[in-house]
Amino acid sequence: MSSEIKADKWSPASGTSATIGDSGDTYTVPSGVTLNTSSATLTLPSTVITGQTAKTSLVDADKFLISDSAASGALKYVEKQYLPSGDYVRLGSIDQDLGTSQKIQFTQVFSSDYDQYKVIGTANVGSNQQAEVYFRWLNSSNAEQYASSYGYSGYGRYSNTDDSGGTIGFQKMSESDVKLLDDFHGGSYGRNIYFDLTLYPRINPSNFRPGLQGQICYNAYNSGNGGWYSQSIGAFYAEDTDLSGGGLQIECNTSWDYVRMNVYGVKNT
Amino acid sequence: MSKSFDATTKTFRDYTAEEQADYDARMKIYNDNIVPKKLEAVKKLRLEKLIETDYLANSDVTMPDNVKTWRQTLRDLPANHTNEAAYDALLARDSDGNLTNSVWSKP
Repeated sequence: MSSEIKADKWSPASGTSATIGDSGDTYTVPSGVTLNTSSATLTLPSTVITGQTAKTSLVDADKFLISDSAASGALKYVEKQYLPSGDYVRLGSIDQDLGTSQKIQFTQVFSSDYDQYKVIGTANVGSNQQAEVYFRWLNSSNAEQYASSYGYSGYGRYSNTDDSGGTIGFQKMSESDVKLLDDFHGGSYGRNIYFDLTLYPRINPSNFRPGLQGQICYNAYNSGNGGWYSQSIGAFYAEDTDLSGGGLQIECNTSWDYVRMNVYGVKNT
Repeated sequence: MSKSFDATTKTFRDYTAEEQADYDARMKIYNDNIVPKKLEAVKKLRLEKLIETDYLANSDVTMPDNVKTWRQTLRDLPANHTNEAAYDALLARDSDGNLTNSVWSKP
């Protein structure tokens, strides 16, 4: 070290500003030294943030710097796990052409974190024929639940292409699945099924008896090209089946084409 | 062999033998019901067409003879059309979704 400056205070020789060093210089504040700027106006370069390595997947222990309004703006951190989040948590998704698959399974999505689940999405099927779509529950081993204990009913309205139309109603008991719809017109990306289902894998802490309800809309086959169905449906499974850790299955009798579907858990706390 | 897609693991797999047997059994029911469902669709269309001209049966109006004949033709559709090809011909539509069989056109 060529020399050492010892002074109790630095001040500009003239005016109100001064510069330390030149471009390329590095000044190091050694370990154990306190650089107290708590009462100063501190201007940081934007590279404090933009110069850092990006992280693309947050974990609960990741921290954010905050100014605590309840403590005179004191700097504190909060962990990601304490950030507020929505009550809907996406648990599974599909956004792809499923080729020649008949079954869509969302396996092992049910947990104690949620009491209800939402299934929303669109789908079409590849074959230009009347298509049927069925629903079944899956247990934690991904085994389909197909006892003849499904009951369901629905009601809706259809429109023909000439604006005529009518009502539809259906009901079944003691079935091995829920037939969500039975007259979809496949074979074109322009024809779709819209799903909006709410699932109740366990109706309360002491009873299972899973059920579902929802709304389904789709282009109809027997009501003609471009005909349209809108229907509600409600279903139950009269079995005390523990579906903890389980999931759901939606099966088509022909084959799925492009499916864009999400399953959300609805937080219970 | 039918296939299944697991949205959680993003994997495809073939049906197990048990799944395939279950699927085949349901497809047999589906295929057995295709023709009855087409007849059901014909009857649904027929009902809609008849309803459109029901008002002409009111006592204060006179139903033209050609409409009477047309309505009787509609009523006779199931009796005079008894196989899948005949149902397909009745249910045929053009690319705009309009029925093409002239039997549905009111005179």
